[in-house]
Amino acid sequence: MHMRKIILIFLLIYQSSIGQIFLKEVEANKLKTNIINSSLNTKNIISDFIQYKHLSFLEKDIISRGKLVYIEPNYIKWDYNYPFNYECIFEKEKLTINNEGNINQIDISSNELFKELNKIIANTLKGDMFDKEKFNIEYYDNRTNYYIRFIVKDTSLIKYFSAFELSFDKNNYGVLEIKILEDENDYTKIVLYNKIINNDIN
Amino acid sequence: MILTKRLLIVFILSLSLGCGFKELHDLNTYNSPKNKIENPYFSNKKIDYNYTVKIEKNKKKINGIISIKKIDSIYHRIVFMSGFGYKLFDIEVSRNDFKWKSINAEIDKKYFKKLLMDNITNLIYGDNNINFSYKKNNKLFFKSKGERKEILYLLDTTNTLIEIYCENKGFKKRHISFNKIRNNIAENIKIQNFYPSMIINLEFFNN
Repeated sequence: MHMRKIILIFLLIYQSSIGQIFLKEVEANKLKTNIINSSLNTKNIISDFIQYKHLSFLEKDIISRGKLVYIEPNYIKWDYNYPFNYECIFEKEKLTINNEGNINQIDISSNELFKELNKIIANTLKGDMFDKEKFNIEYYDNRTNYYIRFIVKDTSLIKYFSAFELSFDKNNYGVLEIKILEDENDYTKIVLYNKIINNDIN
Repeated sequence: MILTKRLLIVFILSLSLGCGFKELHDLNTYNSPKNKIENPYFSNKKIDYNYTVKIEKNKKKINGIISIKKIDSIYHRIVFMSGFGYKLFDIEVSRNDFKWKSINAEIDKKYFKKLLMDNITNLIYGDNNINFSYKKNNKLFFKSKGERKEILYLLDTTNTLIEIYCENKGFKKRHISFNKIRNNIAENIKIQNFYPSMIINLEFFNN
């Protein structure tokens, strides 16, 4: 009995030291419901963002910055202003890229990578990303935020990315970070800040 | 009739592409002990060489980010990605070897890969086979002459590499200029390919 207590204390210390606690089914379902409810009330989001491109062979991540505009159900604009001006608009099945006035429109229904990226981000903002057929989903509490890892099951997607991870605000269940993991420990992490929800957008 | 058409095409091509670079006309032979050219711009293992890229081809413009890193004494790793962050290609390259780690299906074309390999080799490596040197208006040119290809390196008065001229059988192939040079970093690089016509502009940026 004494030994069991020691092991339990050791496990608790270990869990808190690694900074994240795996959520059991009941807690995970509660978190999932809260995220979905929060998203149902979200009509639009305007937010600044920093994008960290992590390439394992570089000393530092490559940083890009810009503004995100989301209007439900299917409009997402990534308006980059650093290191260069670049605008990406996902709307329904179309991706419009504005390269400093040079506009290209791409039908993303035929492009698996764009289609999936758009789906992940749109569904994340809509709270509709809990697809158990495509992903093994793990729920964590990392003390400051909730954190959900989606590990790709679908073999057609693995060539593009192995998993994605989302961080959520503990107070309002809004998304704070989107991390898309590629191969060999490379990833893209997008951190949202100065977020305004349900503002008047003309 | 067909022969006449072909001759006409060759004549027009010769006019538009031929005669090589006018900057290389009237060079005066110059005796120099230099038999190799160092390219210092991508040679420091501690530096992440991150550049924004603007490519203009047939009035189309493509923007992106390229990261070049010397990873050991032989290899460089080069990743080109869109502004959105997805990789268009990822290669490990040495002077004689290209290992393709990934390439987007839309650009996975033989001619494009060849063009890319030629551009990268000219851009990041120097040359150990200098066999001619010239002088013109106080500028020093060093030539590496192969069976078909000729590459001329232009050095400024401080012995710094500032331009590269590539010709193939006397036709203009490529011109590279290294500009705004600070601490062995060329903060602006312009690459002009003549056939196929394509202009690449690189701007260094530091997080």
